[in-house]
Amino acid sequence: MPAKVVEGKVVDSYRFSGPAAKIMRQAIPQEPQYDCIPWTPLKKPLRECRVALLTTAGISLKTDVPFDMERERQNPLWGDPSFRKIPHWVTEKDIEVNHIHIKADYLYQDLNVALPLQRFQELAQLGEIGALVPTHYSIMGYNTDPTELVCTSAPQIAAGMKAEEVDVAFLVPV
Amino acid sequence: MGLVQRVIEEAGISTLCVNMVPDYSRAYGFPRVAALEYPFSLTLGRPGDREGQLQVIRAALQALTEIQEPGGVVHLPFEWPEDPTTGDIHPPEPSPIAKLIRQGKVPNPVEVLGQGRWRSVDAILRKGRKLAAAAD
Repeated sequence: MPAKVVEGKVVDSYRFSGPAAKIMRQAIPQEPQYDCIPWTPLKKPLRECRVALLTTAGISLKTDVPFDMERERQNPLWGDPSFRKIPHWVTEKDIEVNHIHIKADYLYQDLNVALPLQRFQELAQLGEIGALVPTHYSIMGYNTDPTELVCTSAPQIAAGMKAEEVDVAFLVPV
Repeated sequence: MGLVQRVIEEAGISTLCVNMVPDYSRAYGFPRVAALEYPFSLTLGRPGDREGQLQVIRAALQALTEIQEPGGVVHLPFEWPEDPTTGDIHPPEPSPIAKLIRQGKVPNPVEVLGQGRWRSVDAILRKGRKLAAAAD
């Protein structure tokens, strides 16, 4: 079904937020929280780029240790900062969604809504991207203290992508 | 997500983040953002809607090629066809933190959840960079 297009649209950050999420999002500081923004220019046309995907949907393989939802239930200010590797071949039947802030049913129906492996394989077959690499990644998007995510998980994800000569990382939050 | 994006970009990989809350990207300096006003849990479109998903992905990839400066944001023109109040987009029960907030048990959620903990985000990023440099 073609998406409805509204030229000149400006995204409303809060249109789909529930009341508690609206309060949480008021926590976003008004002032920039960084001294500079990292930058790696795109070095080649997309049709030559190797692409990796990263989702915040808390997806694990059925053979993985799941993200720790029980600890979050005990301490709602804590969110699991670990990550999982997701091979390119997985389908809905190979995974679990460990994320208690979203409606997971849609991902079990079609993983592509948050981890678009099939869509990117199609783009690779059409020659619109160079290739989809073998390994993709999931984190779980609720986290009130980003220290471990930034200092432990993210560098390992980046190193894994570098090892597979990734040119482009495509990030899909939920 | 944006903080992870920054680490990946800094490692020498071009990144694009689809983002339903572009207010975050402004605060935390996401390198490249395709802002999209779609519901949480349905980021790229409806299950089974291959055409609609591809349309969003292609537009986001175009944003990736068009953004020429750090922090660039392209607002994608797609409009979700349903009213947010009627859509079935929330988890079966509110998350633990949402329950606490609704019960009034987090007296100052903005401070507890946000600025208090995230104010030091630049220091955290610097620490991450030092660790990454030491690992090289």
